[in-house]
Amino acid sequence: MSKHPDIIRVLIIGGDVSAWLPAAMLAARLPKNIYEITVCDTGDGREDTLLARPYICRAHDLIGIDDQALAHDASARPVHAYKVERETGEEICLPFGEYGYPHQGAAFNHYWLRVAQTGQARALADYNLALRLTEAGGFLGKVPSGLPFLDYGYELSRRRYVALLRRIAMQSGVKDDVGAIKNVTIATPGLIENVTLERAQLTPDLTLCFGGEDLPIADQLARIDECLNGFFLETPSGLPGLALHQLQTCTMRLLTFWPSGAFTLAEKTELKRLQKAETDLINDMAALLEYGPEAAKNSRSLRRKCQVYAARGRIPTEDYEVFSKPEWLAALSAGGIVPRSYDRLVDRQSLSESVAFVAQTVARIDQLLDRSKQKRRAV
Amino acid sequence: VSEGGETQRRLTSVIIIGGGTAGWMTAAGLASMLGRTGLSITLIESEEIGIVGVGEATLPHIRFFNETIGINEAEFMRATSATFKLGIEFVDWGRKGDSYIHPFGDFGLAHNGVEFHQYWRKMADRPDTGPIDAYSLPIVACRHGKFQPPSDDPRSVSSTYRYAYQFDASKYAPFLRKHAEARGAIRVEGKVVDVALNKENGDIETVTLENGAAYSADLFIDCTGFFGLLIEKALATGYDQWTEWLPCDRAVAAPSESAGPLLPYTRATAGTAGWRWRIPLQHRTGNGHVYASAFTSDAEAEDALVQNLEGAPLAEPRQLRFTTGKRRKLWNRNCIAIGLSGGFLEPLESTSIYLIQEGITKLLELFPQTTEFADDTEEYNRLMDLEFERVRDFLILHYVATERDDSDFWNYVRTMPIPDSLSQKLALFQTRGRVVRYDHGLFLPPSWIAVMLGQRVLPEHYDMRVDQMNHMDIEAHMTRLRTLMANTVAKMDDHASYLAANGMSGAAT
Repeated sequence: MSKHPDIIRVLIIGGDVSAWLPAAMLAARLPKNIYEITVCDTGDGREDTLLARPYICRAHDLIGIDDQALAHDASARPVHAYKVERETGEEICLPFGEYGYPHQGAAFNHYWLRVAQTGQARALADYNLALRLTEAGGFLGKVPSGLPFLDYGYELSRRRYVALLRRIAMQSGVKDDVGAIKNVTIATPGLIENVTLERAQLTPDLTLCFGGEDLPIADQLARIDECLNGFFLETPSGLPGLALHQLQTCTMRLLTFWPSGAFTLAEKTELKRLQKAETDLINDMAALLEYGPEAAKNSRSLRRKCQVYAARGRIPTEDYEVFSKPEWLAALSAGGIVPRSYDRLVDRQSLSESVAFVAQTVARIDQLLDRSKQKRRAV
Repeated sequence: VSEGGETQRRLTSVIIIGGGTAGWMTAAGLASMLGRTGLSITLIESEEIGIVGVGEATLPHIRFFNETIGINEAEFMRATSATFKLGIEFVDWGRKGDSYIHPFGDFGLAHNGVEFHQYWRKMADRPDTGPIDAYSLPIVACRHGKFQPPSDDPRSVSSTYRYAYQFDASKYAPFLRKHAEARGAIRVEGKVVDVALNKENGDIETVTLENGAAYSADLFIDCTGFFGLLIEKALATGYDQWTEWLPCDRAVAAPSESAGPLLPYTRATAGTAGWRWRIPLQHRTGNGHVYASAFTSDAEAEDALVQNLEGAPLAEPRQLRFTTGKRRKLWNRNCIAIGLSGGFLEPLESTSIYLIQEGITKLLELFPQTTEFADDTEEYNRLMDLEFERVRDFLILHYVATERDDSDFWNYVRTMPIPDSLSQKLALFQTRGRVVRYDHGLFLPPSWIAVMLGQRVLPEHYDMRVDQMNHMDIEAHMTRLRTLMANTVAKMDDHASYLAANGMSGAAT
């Protein structure tokens, strides 16, 4: 087995959170006696609000941020759902929690569909605790098992979140005193030789670029990505929270495939395959939300989702799904798709039993909503 | 319901043709899950036609199937003379003289988000480290002939494995028949002599039996084995052959008397032109030899089987011929092929019954409400194609990851071109022990790690994150794990004793 070099230098180029989330995560996991991480922050210190999906807790666990620190240092506000605005101005709300609960092997929406066909059900959104809480401005955290699954993400102050991540990364030894990026030299094909920065000339073993068109070296990104000691993640999605999500998942994958110097071709190919699969799924959701089922003609996987859902209310999954089934269900419903039939398993109980089950579900959700209101009043 | 000029109506009837393992598993699955939804389930089989009786050895997923349809484990064990199975031993695969076990469980414990085999790789050259087998509870249990059901407590090392069964396939189908009939499935005795298609849409309309009785249904399920009476003979669906990667095309099988202790695992021993299986049941041992007819003769293959039997033979050897591959569409028109009629992958990793089970599970998930089901069909075929292709790659790995050069067969398989998907998996593992992950598909990383390492695909490097822990700490951690595994297994029951003590021993018939 070959020995790895004494010190491995990693350069991260990205703006604000694109630089500091990966830096903090890598610094938390890579042995400090071997790795030297330098950040070139190309950000402009934007002041907007950032959505973090529930999955972010994995990154926060890794770098040691808890809910309290997040609220205190990044003005975090927990959210059970998020809104996406169409170009037409119409808003679609996507939940971080399920619709009702599954019963006898079938998802709740199948029972709802059966009952709705007889005119005895309320709107589907009324059966989603996350959507109801969001509408009412309430919050319940996570609920015990046996109740509809409920999760939450955060709305964060971008500026303060970046400052928090930077502080943690710097405490772990990350450096950022290099100034603005000037140039990346790729002399040998497929290998980055050195990087010229305002206050330093670096010869990194690995150069990671996160972001997109706003990076000052935008014209060099494609070539950097072709190098085995370079990696570029483009995070173009306009959907709330998805750029941050991709940064997180990409960094986790980089950690899993972490090289001792440059990547091998097989590793780079695999990283890119996974990145593409994720981007394709995000693009599917973005297209569905903006254009409705019409968008399916350009994507086989989205076509499948629309067709199978329209046929029987089932949502097929791909490898490496990004969005939860409730998010897809909200988006497909918002696209105007009404399933022609429901899961056959639902017919194992009588219609009156299904009506009772659906009614009990909404009563339980109403009860939880009341509890949240009382809690808010008490606070 | 009328849409686009076509008339849809509620789907009310299913006919299953063929009453082997696939047929009765399907009947039992449908009757248990959908019998109360107004669905009539009829199974037509002929006593004149024998069954292949695939898959005496299974994977842990079978437990979920049995549980879902309400089968009592002890009753099942007694009725099918079943034994427990914790993995598969592969003998002579990487090199002659090698032996490793593909366990139904994890290796060691992940630490700091890094899988255990990465720590093992770092320490592999140290004399105390030993083979990775010592860090897998099911493997240690297999080597000692022990069995105990896993613990439900996720903090316990005893929760790191699962188990399957080895059973008499000729007894499983009759056992399921009782179960299915009790839940409303109807059995019809008879041999299908004619299949009539609808002249307008090409769907199967009726099947006619030798006695002249005709049966029609909304949906037909072809469980007629390799013959593919409906899916191929009637619908001419086509077949994708994978013989270029999996050249074995014949098998010879013979039961023998039990010999030695009752082992909680199946054994697959590589030969000169294929491999031999050994499946210990309560009352006998199932044996077989899968081989490539291009590299050996039937007589030589039979001789290799008989010469290696550990107990006295109980029947004359039986020959089977097959073509590895799958039907181009497993669901074509109103016909679904489940079992050998849908495809065949050699039983090296006990996947035959798993693929039947997946066919049934996915059919249940997508079971149509009406007779209009084109979208369900497409999705079913996509999911089943993924299953078959990912199992295929895993099987090819066993042949290509070898150093054997002692026969034309091994020289061919060792050097044959392989699917790109597998090349990428091999390259990734070879560099740093990474395993390609999918959300769909059967074999999870521990399976890939077991076979890769078992067949001498040793990663060149380990995961750098391992270096966060110093040598001494890793060594101490590994010593603790080895001791924990050994102590836990020491407290387990002997396999045969466990069966007897828990009322699972059946009458030897």
